[in-house]
Amino acid sequence: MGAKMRAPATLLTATAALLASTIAATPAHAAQPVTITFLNTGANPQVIEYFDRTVIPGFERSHPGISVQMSTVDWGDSFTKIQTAVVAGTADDVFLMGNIFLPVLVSKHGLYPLTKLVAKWPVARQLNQPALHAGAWDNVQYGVPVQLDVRGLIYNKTMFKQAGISAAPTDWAQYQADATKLVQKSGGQVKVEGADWAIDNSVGLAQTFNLLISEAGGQLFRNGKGGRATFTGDSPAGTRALEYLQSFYKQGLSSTSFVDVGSTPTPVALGEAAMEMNNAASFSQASPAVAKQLVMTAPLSAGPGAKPVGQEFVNKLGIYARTKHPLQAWAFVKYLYTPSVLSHWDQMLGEAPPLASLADQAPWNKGVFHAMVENEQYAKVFPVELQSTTIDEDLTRVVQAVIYQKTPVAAALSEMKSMLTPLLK
Amino acid sequence: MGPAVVLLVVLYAVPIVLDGYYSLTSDQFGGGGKFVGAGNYVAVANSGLFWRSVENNAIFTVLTVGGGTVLALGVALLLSGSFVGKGIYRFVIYLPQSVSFASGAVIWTWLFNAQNGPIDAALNRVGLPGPAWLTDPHLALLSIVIMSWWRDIGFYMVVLIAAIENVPQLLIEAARVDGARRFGVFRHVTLPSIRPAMLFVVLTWGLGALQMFTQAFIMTNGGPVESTYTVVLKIYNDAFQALNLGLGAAEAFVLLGVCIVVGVFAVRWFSRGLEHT
Repeated sequence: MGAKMRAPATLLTATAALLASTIAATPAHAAQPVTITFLNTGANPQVIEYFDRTVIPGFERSHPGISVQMSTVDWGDSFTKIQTAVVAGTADDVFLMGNIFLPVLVSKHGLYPLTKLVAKWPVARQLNQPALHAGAWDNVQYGVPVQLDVRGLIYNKTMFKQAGISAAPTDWAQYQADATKLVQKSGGQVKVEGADWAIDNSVGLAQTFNLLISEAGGQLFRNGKGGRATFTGDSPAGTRALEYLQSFYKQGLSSTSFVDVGSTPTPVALGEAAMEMNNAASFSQASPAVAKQLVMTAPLSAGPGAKPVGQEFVNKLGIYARTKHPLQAWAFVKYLYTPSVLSHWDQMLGEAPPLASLADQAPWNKGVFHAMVENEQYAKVFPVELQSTTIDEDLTRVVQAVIYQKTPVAAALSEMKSMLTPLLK
Repeated sequence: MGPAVVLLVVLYAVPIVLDGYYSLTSDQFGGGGKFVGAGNYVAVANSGLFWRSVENNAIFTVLTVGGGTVLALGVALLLSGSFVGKGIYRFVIYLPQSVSFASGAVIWTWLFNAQNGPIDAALNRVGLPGPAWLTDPHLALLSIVIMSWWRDIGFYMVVLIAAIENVPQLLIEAARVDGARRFGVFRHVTLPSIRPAMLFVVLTWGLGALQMFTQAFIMTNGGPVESTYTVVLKIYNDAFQALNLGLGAAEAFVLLGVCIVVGVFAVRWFSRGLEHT
């Protein structure tokens, strides 16, 4: 994993680490006024307003001489924008990265190594450790977790009541049995899905397959000698996961017509599906009437009595390797971990904070936010590889062919292996 | 002449030469690529998804340009000549041209939504089942064709109206005197006279269709089951998502070759006998 880039990256890492240790001795409050730029990826209007009116002025007051210029980009365009900016030498000083960005940006020498800075940062010890670990590559810390997209089971309690279901399902068999009771059809067409599986115009199906294979006790990739990953999705767990997913479409419990195009609410948020695996975003996307009917609970286990398994995606803050103001950028990153700032920011995005100390405070101690924090104990971080963008696209295409009943499960797993093996070298 | 040549070289020749160069390297975006000879072209030739994209592009181009030209010509014939309110009709049909492809694609994604889109809702209201426009692999490409017609017909209608209204009245009168009926006048006078305009329509629309990206990217992202995956979408994904600039450049070079062949073929086809018209 990352073997090809290790040699050239080592020199750069050493140089940057030396630079980091040198600047660590200089004060954060610059003698000359400096401006740092911040790309607040995926910020919705609420977040933009909060940063413009509260966060940035607050930081500038507490750090005289440093001003912050914020820009935004939606998640769909963010990877291309950040990556091309890194290559062109025009990236922002601080940027918010999605789950899969880190290895690619490290390979392009785009991320400032934070290992030494994080080691001296007391807050680091309070951070969710698997999420913090997800910000490292080849044992160097490049990103710090700021939002955890923790997935749990979301269901519509009104639809449950109407279908005579008294408790949320906890395993695969119950989930499928409940979906059979919940699905609503008209003229042979599914009008309300029993369960929705996140078909979208992005890589939702790859994420669904990863979740199911984890629940079935397997994993998509296994790291071997020399850090190289191998595709292990063609295991019995992978077969079971894909057959389970396919059966929902074969039996008409879910429908390929329900596609989340990114800008629209999920089928559960629209009241067009009774259950899904998602984060709190479904609650904020839903109309007030539908939101009242939604409940989040623990993710599923594959069999009775087994431990539930969920998944999470870690958004991280990173500092551009070629920033002229790394210390000021790091000061801004640290400021964003002010409990009130982090809590409010994550709440507005419907994602869980990586700070354990927030769990007992409102709003994280009740309702959907509490469920999300509780679900962190079951969550496995979505696996990331150097070629994740291509891997996830390829996985999505193959899984799509399976649920459209175009490709048998065995053939699909074999196709995945032949497509992904060269990408993992 | 001088500045024009410089502009042509900078804007066209340099990018093409650079693309050709990158297509022979293993550049991973950001430098460091090695010379790989025809390696990227071999990868293109062996890529099932690339050929599926070529097939989708070919179908899209034939349907969009073939059907669209007939529709644009029909509308142009209806709206040429003088009658009350023709300006309003022309304006309404031309209006979508002022909408960007990206905005249009978002609008049509909503219109085509099988669950809560207005088209299926209207069909359901009159007792007809609403198709899964963008999620049925057999319908998705056709749905994008319909969106593209909506967006572009107005522009080509204007081009054809201008050509139709420039057909010498003398020729039409002569044909009528010779006993030609309405269709005969169209077949033997109007159509040959507007051949240069038809060449423009087919050539520009066709080359645009071969490079279709925005609609597929926004409305379906190439799905379902690769049924709307296009060559430019593949180039984008390979070059900017997978960071394989060499492979993306090779695919772009192949597409350039296809565009040149189609362009030359179209020019020759429409130029046949042009000097006699």
